[in-house]
Amino acid sequence: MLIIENLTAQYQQKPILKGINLRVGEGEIHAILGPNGSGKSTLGRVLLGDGNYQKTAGKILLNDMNFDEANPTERSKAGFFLSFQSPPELDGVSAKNLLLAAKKSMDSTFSSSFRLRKELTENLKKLHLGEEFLTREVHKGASGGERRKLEMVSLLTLNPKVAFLDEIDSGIDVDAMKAIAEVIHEFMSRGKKSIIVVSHTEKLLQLIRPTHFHVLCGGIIVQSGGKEILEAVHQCGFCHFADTKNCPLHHE
Amino acid sequence: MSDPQSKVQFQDISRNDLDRANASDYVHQFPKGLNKKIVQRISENKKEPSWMLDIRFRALETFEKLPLPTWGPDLSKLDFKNIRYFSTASENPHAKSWDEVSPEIKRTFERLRIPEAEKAVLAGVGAQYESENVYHNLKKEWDDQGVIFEDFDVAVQKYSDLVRKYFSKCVPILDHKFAALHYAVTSGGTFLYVPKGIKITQPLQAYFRMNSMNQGQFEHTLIIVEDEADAHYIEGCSAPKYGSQSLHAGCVEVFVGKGAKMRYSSVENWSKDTYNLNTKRAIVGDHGRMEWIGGNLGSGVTMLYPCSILVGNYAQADHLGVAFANAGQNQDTGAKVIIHGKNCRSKIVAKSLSKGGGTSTYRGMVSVSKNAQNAIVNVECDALMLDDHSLSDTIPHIKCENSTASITHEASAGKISEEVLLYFQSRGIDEEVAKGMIVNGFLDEIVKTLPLEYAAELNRLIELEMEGSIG
Repeated sequence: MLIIENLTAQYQQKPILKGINLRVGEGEIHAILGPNGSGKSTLGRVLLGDGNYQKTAGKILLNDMNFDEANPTERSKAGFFLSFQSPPELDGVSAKNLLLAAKKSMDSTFSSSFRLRKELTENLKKLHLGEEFLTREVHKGASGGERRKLEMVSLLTLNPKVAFLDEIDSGIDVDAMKAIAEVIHEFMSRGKKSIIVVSHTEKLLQLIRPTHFHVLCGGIIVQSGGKEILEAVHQCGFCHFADTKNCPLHHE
Repeated sequence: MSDPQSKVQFQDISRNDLDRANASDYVHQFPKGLNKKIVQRISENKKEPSWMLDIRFRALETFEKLPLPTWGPDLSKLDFKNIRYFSTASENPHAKSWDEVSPEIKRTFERLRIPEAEKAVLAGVGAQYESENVYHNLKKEWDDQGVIFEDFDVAVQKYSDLVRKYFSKCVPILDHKFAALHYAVTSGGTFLYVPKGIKITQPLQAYFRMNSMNQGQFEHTLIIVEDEADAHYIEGCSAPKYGSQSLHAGCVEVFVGKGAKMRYSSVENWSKDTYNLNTKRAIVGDHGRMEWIGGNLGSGVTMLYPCSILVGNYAQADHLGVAFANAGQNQDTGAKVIIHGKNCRSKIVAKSLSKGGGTSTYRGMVSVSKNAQNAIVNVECDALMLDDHSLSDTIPHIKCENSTASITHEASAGKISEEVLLYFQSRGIDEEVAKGMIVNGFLDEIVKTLPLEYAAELNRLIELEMEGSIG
């Protein structure tokens, strides 16, 4: 269970998150919708503990672990996973070596690079990526779609408890979208998993079938509910929510 | 190919294996300092032909006349009077079997995994301890095909005419002060001769070890690769740490024949109180190809700029170098490529790392002469600084007298990207391990050109340098 209470955070001294409250239970998929610049990606970064963002108040708990006392590595070891919106290129590091190091770090008894290789090859196949992605430099010269798919391979392989998937759907085709949705369902079916997904694509959200929807606007969640929210956004955009008195943008 | 059962375990090597001295009794240990008498005694000790002694005397005069370099790292603290120019520790130099090597010295090389590597992956091995080789052996298969792989001192006696024909013809005595010093007191080293058309499929290795305090090592490596022949030679070096200066002024001369191919790899890991002032040069004929692969991790001050002179048409030279400057180290390294032939190509890739206040400098020269039509030269230097107080500098020099040449120079310098580090951390990888992986990745392009065992050794040495890198 991930609990976020009254979370405020800033980036370069500019307040971005202005009091987020969110509880994500096991077996739940939460979709976060919102206009550009509303703080969706910032939320992911603050959850990971990116030093460029300063948490100014509030609480983040993952199964009773207080994130204030943990660095990004420790948060990841505790079961939090962030898929990057634009993952960086890693010079001279292959996916196999990256994920082997990650596995070893998370489980000191893990040593079988053979087992990992087998698992990785299977996971790559699920996302229609060739075996060459095992040994290619991570994200080097890869397309946006390939990068996002490789992030999903990491998700399956590292098997976290809570995953924050930041715009995994931009720049991908319909087949890739289906594959990603299937991977998300497979991940959830492992049990005791939670996902927060940031997306603009109605098609992907229909495939993923989130259990909860939230609209993030001006750094706070202005509305939460079920899939009726997705329909409302689809019909009238975010203005409708921005116009509610909850939204800080309303008064500007 | 190597037998997987006999993998050499370089990855277990520790700083202690490299930096620790061992006790040994010296057969000859000349007094410190340099004069005509010392030079004469070195020559007498080796029972050298008179032409060698003549060269030594001329070199000593030149050394005394030439000034220290007026550029590069500060050498003013190097005290020539406090260096011992000749020591031998073995009663039985030039052994052909490890059983003939004295147990103490043999143990030193065992700690450095040399006999192990010989069995597994090498065509031949030379091991030098202080001023002389204690062991030299070439597998029979290559000996039968006319390959000569000898201790340089033995070669001077045994193949006098051949050595004399090439010796000091690539790096002249007058080249600079340390070349002159080298020729005055040279001792030990390697002689490699590969006859026409012979392609040696396994690498040959020489390992140079300085063991006592204030020692100087001045080995000479002379490599002749005849037309259409092919060889790969690897040098490794280390010395224990005393907190008092020692000096390495080696010299490598390589002659690459028509259509021949030579790869020279070295991992220099002298202790941090060594001045490593080394000269390496190759002359390459028509369609010949020279590759220099170097890792410089040790030494307090390094000045090393392997040079390729492309005299033939369609000749090629690749220079790949890694330099790692840690606290108190000044790594001044680079490459020189001089092109005289037509349609020649050269690639220089230099990667440098600095940490703990160390200084890494790439100093390079590319020179294309008037008649060198259609030369293509690509230079790429990348520097990675691992903290805020380390330094990196790039000093390229390009001299081009032919308008058909295409010369590119790309340089990058920076610190580890925060975003990349965060990405590793987001996969549960600790900061220190992540930095190590980033550094290994940065060097990957060069490390992967080394045979597997040496790549593992270089990675291990870098790991040792990276210890305690969290700032």
